[in-house]
Amino acid sequence: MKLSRITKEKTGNRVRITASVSWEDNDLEEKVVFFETEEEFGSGLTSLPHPFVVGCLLPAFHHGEKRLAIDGPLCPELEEGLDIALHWLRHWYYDPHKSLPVIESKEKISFTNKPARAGFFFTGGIDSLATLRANRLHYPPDHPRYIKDGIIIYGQNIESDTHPDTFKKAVSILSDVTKEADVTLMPIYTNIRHLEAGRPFFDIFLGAILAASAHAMSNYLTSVSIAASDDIPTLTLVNSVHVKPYGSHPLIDPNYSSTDLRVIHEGLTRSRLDKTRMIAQWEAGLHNIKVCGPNWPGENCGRCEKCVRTMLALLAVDSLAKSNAFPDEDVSPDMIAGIHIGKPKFGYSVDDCYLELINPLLEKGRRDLVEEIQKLIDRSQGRQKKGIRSSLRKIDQKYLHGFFRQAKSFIN
Amino acid sequence: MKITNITSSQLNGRPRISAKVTWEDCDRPPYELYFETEAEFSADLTCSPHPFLVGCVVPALFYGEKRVKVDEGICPELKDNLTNAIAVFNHWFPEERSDPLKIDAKTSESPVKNGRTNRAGFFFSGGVDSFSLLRHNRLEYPRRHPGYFKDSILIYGLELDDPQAFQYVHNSLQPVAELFDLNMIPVYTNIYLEYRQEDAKNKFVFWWYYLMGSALASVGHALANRLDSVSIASEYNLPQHVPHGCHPFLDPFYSSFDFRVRHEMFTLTRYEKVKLISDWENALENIRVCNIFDRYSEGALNCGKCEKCVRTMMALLAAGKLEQTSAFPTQDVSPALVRKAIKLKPTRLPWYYELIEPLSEAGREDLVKEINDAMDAFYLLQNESRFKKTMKAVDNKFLDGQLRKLHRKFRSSSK
Repeated sequence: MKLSRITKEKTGNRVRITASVSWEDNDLEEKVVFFETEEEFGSGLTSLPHPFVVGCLLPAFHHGEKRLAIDGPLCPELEEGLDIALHWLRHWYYDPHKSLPVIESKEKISFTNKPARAGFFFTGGIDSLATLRANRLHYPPDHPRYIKDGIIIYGQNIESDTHPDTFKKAVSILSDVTKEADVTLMPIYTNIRHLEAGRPFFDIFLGAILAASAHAMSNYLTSVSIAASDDIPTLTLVNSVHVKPYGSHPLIDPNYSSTDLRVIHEGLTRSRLDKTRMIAQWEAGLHNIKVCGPNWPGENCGRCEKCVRTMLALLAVDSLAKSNAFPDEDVSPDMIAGIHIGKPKFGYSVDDCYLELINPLLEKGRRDLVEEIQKLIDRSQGRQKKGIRSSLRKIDQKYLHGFFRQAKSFIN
Repeated sequence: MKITNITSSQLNGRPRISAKVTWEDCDRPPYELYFETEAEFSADLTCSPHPFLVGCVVPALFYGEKRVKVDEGICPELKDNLTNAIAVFNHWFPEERSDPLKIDAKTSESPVKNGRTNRAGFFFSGGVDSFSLLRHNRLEYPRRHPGYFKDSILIYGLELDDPQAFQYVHNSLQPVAELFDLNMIPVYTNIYLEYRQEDAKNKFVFWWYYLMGSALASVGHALANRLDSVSIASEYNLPQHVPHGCHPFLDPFYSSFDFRVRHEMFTLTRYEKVKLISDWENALENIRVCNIFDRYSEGALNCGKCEKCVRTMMALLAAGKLEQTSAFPTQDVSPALVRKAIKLKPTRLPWYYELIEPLSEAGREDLVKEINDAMDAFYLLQNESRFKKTMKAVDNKFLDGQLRKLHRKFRSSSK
């Protein structure tokens, strides 16, 4: 793969950086890849090739390109980190003998010594809201890691609502949240995902998309925080047949750093309920949560798995009725019965997010919801299969106190 | 645990920073933790709580302390990171604790340093891992880049705690460091000496599973006035890594905002590292892999007989370079030497396995046979042991030891 003709130009009331991407070992057509932002943030866009290197390397690897040749300079720390990231990703997702593309650049660049400025990725979801909240609680305003800028990406969640008007409205709403926290929200528009738009690949690609977008703004930023989806007990560290690690991962994301820009994966010690509890104490965050799978960044539907899960968590911390972010102020058992969580192929099992709700909901007297959650988890783990296995399981549970189940897991 | 009285001083002409460490929830006596260096690096010793906090969190966790308290302000990023490190340990090695270890310290308003020094350092032992890290750095980083190593650190008080042996190593590596455009900074510390004797009785479990990375990181933090980052050369490559105290996932969590701890070179196998340095004459002549310190003499730091020496010699042989170095007492490896020296453990298996093909290509089927024989014996022992272990565990958990009692009765009646 070759990256060339890296340019920066004004397009209407936006500024964009572009690069031509030519495939060398595949028949895929040449593309022009871009990162764009509003004119007021245009000076933050870099002229270096870094955003394109970070954004194109994984598709190049995925499609078996022998090299990634860059028509420009490259930070040696970034080059080193990309090699490490590829090794991890190959170890987790691909044949161990799949060759890694060689990164070829014209020269190695040094450090530009900019004043420190911290940013973070903001979707309005629980993870990113908690990242901002934690930052405000832990870092004093003069500290270089005190977040000053938020980045919201258009072009990443192509499976959700991609109407430009929905995005524009979301930026406006979420800007109110960030302004309250003294953060400037910068929208980044990119087509980087079009290099390989398949949904399964997105779960590998996500960290690189975020990091590439941050590198695009590296004239401004010296660090950027990516909110962790998992906490440490639920984090998948090693390749597993059942649950693969997610492509935005504490072992991966920091390797997308250059000497000029640190990529930080944050929030690893907080479970989803912990994060919800933090946001519940922050009015602006509470009213503007955006989690909906089908509709993001639009209104929360209140019916999809993610909405219902988040509503349950808010209910568990006595904050659902206080939030304007969802259409309902309560959750009914039927709402849980209507959702399905299949066995995950990537990332953590959402079962853990439901399991941690059980005790708090029981304490609130919501046994009706806990029973439905138990059934939901059983469905997700295939425990409702009919037939002799199911009957034997019931006998084991009822009369043998789970002896055979314990023996089986012990032997396994 | 409380860390107090953080001070800088001089002892026998050497500058030192020290702190008093007092245990609160176990019977261990208080002690003074120190980091010392030579006079020329006096200004580089950082009298901040960071080296002591990083060096004490893991012992506090291991010995069941409820908290680590520091009165001085610490970097909020370091506090977050150490919380992550504690969570990782709790996940890898779960123990019965009611609450996770707490970092009881307020956060400081601003970073410890005023701006970057643009200096990177690394831990340099003269072994294959650290030499390959240096080689890689010299190949990839231009001199003007902040990531170009300017300083190497040699530590007294971790694995190396014999003053004479330390001097031999220092004398051996100092000219090498100069040749490679590095300053060599010796650091003397008791961060592990406090636990070492007792850990030796427990097969160094505390060092290997817990303390290693944090001990190195704390030494790095002690030099944060001089360095922006310190690199640790990985012992294992990516697929080999298992949860233990020096790990690519863990070590970066010992970083603060203005001092980064990096765990590097885990994408190469050991043989690939040997090949990387094998055409680097000054490295080849100065490799030090041997940990049998009482066999050291001036200019001769590899015994050539222990498992590590023999394994490294085989790797150099396979790369066609053993004859070109005088770092080992002999320039060949015999099957008898391999048979005597080889000691297989699960973590060492990949290192031997990867030598089979290159040794075969080098025409050393005699050595390949020794490796294969050793592996066969190892796997046989593992399989037998695994079966026995499983039966014992099943007996204990489900049969209340009835099988064991039956076995004893049978044995005593057959006598």
